[in-house]
Amino acid sequence: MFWKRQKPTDSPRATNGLYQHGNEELIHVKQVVKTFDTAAGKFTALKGVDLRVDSGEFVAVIGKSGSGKSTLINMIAGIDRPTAGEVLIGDTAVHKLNEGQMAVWRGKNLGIVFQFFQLLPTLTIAENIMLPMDFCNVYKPGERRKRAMQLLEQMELAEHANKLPAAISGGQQQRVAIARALANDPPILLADEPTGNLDSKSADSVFQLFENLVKQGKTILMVTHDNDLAKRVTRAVQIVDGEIIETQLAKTFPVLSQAQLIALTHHVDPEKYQPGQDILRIGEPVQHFHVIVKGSVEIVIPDTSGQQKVVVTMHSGDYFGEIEMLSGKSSVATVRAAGGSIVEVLRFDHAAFNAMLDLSPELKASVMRVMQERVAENVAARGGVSP
Amino acid sequence: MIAPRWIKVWRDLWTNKLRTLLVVLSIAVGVFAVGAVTQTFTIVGNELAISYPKANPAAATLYPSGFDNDLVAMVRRMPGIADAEGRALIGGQIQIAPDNERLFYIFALDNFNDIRISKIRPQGAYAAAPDFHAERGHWPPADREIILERSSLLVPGLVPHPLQVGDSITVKFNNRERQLTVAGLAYHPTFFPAPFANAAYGFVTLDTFEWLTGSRTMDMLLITVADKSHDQEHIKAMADQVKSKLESGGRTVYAEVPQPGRHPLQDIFTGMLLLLNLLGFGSLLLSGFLVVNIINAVLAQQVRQIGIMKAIGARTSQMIGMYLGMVLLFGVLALIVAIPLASAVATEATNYLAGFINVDFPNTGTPPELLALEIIIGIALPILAALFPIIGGTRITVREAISDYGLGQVAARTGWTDRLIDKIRGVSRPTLISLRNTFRRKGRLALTMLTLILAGTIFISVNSVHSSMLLTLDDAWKSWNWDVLITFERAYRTDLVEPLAKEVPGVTAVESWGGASPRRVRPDGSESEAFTLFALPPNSQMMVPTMVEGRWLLPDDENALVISLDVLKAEKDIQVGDEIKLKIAGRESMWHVVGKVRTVGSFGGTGPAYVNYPYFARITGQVGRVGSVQIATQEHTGEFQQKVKDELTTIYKDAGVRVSGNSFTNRFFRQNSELFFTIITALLMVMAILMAIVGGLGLMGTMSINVLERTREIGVMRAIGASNSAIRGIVLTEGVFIGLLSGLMAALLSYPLSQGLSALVGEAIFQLPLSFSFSIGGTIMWLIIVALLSALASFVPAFNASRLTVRQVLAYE
Repeated sequence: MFWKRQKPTDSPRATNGLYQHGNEELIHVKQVVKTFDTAAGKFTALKGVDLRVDSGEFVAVIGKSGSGKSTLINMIAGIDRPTAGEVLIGDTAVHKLNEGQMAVWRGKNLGIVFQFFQLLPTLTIAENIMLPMDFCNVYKPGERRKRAMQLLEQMELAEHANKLPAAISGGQQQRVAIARALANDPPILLADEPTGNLDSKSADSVFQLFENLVKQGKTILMVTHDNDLAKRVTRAVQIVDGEIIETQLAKTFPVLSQAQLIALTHHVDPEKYQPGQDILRIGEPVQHFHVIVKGSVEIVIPDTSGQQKVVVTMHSGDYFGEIEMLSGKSSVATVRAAGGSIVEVLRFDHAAFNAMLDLSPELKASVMRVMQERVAENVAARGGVSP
Repeated sequence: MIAPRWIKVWRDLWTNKLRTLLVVLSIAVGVFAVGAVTQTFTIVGNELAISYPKANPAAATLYPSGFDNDLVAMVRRMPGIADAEGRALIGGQIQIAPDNERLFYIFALDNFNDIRISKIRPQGAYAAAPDFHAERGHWPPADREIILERSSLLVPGLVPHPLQVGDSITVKFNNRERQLTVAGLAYHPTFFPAPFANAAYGFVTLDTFEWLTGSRTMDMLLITVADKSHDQEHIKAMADQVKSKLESGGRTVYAEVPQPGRHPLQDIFTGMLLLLNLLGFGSLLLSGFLVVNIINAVLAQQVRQIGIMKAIGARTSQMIGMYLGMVLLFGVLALIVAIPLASAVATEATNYLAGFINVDFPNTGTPPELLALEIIIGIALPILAALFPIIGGTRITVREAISDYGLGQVAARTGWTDRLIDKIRGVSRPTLISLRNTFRRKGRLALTMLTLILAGTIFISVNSVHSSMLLTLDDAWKSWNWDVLITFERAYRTDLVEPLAKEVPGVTAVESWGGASPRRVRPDGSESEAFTLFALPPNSQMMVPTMVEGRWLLPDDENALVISLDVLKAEKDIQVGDEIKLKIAGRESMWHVVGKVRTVGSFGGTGPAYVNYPYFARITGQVGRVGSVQIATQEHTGEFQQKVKDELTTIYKDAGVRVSGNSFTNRFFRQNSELFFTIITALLMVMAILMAIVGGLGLMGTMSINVLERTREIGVMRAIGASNSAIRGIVLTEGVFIGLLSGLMAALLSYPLSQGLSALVGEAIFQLPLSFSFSIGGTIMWLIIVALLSALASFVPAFNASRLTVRQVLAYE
């Protein structure tokens, strides 16, 4: 019967914004395809998108209008269903929930912030915030107002609690919308162009609010076309024509066009390394060319006395392995994940690496030049001895 | 503390007052219609059934000519007769103003303190006419005093005004003018009330009657039966025994046997109840459509909010609950409006009808079971109507709900209506936009059209019923091509009664008709009830028949018989071409049925049937003798006819010819029937107007939602230069176009419905099909009404649309 409550199954349970199962990866979008049937024919908005977001990350999804970024966020929010692929949030396969299960799950686990605030016009500010608690029955009826007031105080809007949305400014409305998104204390906030309809001052204030929430342990996924904002997040994912471009690739190889970057993205293989872990070992065969996405790596070679010595530290945006890929020799140095944090890299096998060089003569020349410089540096570091 | 979602429901109702009003009125109209109609007729029906038998109505009324108490005593002694009572009844005039006389009847009673049958009771203070001071009256009336029947005071103009106990009135009977003192009021619940008879009446003693009319004999014999007082067949048999006994003395006696224990108007009320209930439920159905439309509008307006609520955790079942809650509130508000209104109107209508039929209804409140019905209807109807739109509307996914709507929502235009519109040439672009807009939301259009078509069809059909009634009356009155009918108490020679009539000034033609009260001897040997038979001279000018089947009498016809539908009600097996056996004055004869005619009005019994006089006279042995004269007069006004009738009565009386009480003027007959027809039509029209209101509300709802949906589109049109008037024009044209289209479809559909409804009304109220006349005037009137209504209903949305600025519209989210 339609009015019978359905109990959602395998829903992630959140406590203080952290998942109890301890898995750091909170959102995993796997090979998601979304095709719409329109009057003009079929239109594929997402073309096999992969995305992973860890707990506590602040990720920006950037892209032009119509690129598919809102469709992607709709998939994660369960607002829309993929044509193919999977959306896993915590332990929950979101794409498998029915509408009723989805509503309950979403109400408890996701807070959604819209570009146009979307406060219900006939409810006061406080009532708007209490509404999700009412629907999801999360707090006891007697506690809901107190919770709403706490959130409003956090948003510095307590004095407006009894006003209707129309009586406050756009920036204030958006802060109320964020408070509403936080009403059931969900671990994840999804924001679709949250600052798109705000002046720069209000936009900044909203953004600061997000940063604070991330500090408190919330995971935020934000769609935006504002590149300045995108620079302030933990990670930015660029989406072009329904496909995700590894932002790091775009940064590392600025000479490539978007189409070339998309083609390249298809061939990369993300990999993570624990601090101190060896990525390449000197003298061993090298199978991959690496681009550093996150963290830093140390290049270690033996000095003249045979002591292992860090000759250079590479950071996000740098690459390594090109010498071996181009020369066909074993590794000329040991490359090790620098201490402190996990290192994320994008790996290219031989075919992918060659395909990349074939994309652009300019890129090939640039990589060759870097290789020559590094070989020279290596020889110099070994006291003139070739590796 | 109220949960925010219920606060939202309440605020949505409160902030959209116009919409709330619209939907509350829509529901209220349906509940009101059913409530008012059902309450009125339930009370009238129940109270009539209770109060009527209390007056010990006569089981049968016989009309033997001039008799006295000896005859009454003889009838009382007859076996099977419980009681009998004689009364005298005469019609005359009462002076209302120096030059104004009205019809006036007087009953004479032998003993006011021993009224046994069809009781007449003294009436104390009378709320309907406090100035009359009935409480100062006395009982019984003294010599030359009269006690008026209270219903005579209900309608102005039947008696002089002002009038109170102790005043003198001037009356005229048999051309004698007399002054009577008004002694008080009486209540006579079993006789036709004064407004219904369109004449006042009162009660006098036999002594006063003699002083007024010169006669103290009685002509109305009321009887009750000892056993089986609820068995009409038994009563008929008893009445026949009395009649035979009286007729054996040479009298012609008419007998009336009403349905036992039932007020004479009860069947009519039952028929009207059926019809009005049908219309009441029709308007309820319209209310349902309207609720569907408005709920759709509400949901369309809130589609984004539904999406947002779902996005923040609301389940579909919670959404359904919220919107059903809203509908429940609409229902409760509608009940708050409809129940007291229905009760008030029903009380007024009941009181009016109580006066009209002259019955006291001590209990006019809303019966608890009706209250329960109203509550169920008021709550269940909107919920049922709204359930599917709500389920459909709230099941919308978040993505569908929060994606843009307004522009670009129209599927490829491939329907036949679109192709048809594409072919239209020579129409301005904005008009084309209006036409195309009309067919954009076909489901909503269908619902709106259905509401308007139903309203229009009923409106036109009700008008057609009215015109059919008038046509039926016209047909009937065309039949009675005489101005005055004088019936005699026995057969008289033609060469006596015709020359006498011609002496009266103003008489232009006289025709003598033979008459009898035959019974049909059925093939199984049983006998039918007696009916009136008129024997007409060949080529009669006083009878213009309305043939239903077969033909009228030819001059050379011998045993040809034309039978009225009224007789056929009881003798359904008779067909044109049949040979039937009639028993006339004890003698049997065979007659050939050649035709069926429609007639209106009865002559103290069932009938009539018609035969040619020469043959009739031969077989009855009455050659040269007639039972009635039909008179044509110079002028055809009621007053003139009455004057001629009075003079004829006097002249016959002076010549020793006994005129029966069954003598009438044509106008009197017509007025009575017309009044009744008008009341029925008025009731039907009230329902039709309710329908029109509901239809208009429906269109207003639709146009509002259309405008809302196209807010962006209107903004775009504005941005590319559309003026206020152009925007208003587009919306108004669409509304009026929908209205007129529905009007035309209603006109088409109403033809068969009008036929059905006319037949139903005829059967339910008159037990005869009406002569059908489709109301062209009603159709044109509806087209005008629907055009005006559509313009009015579209005006508010059109005005709102024209006030939208480009900035507002394009920022619309």
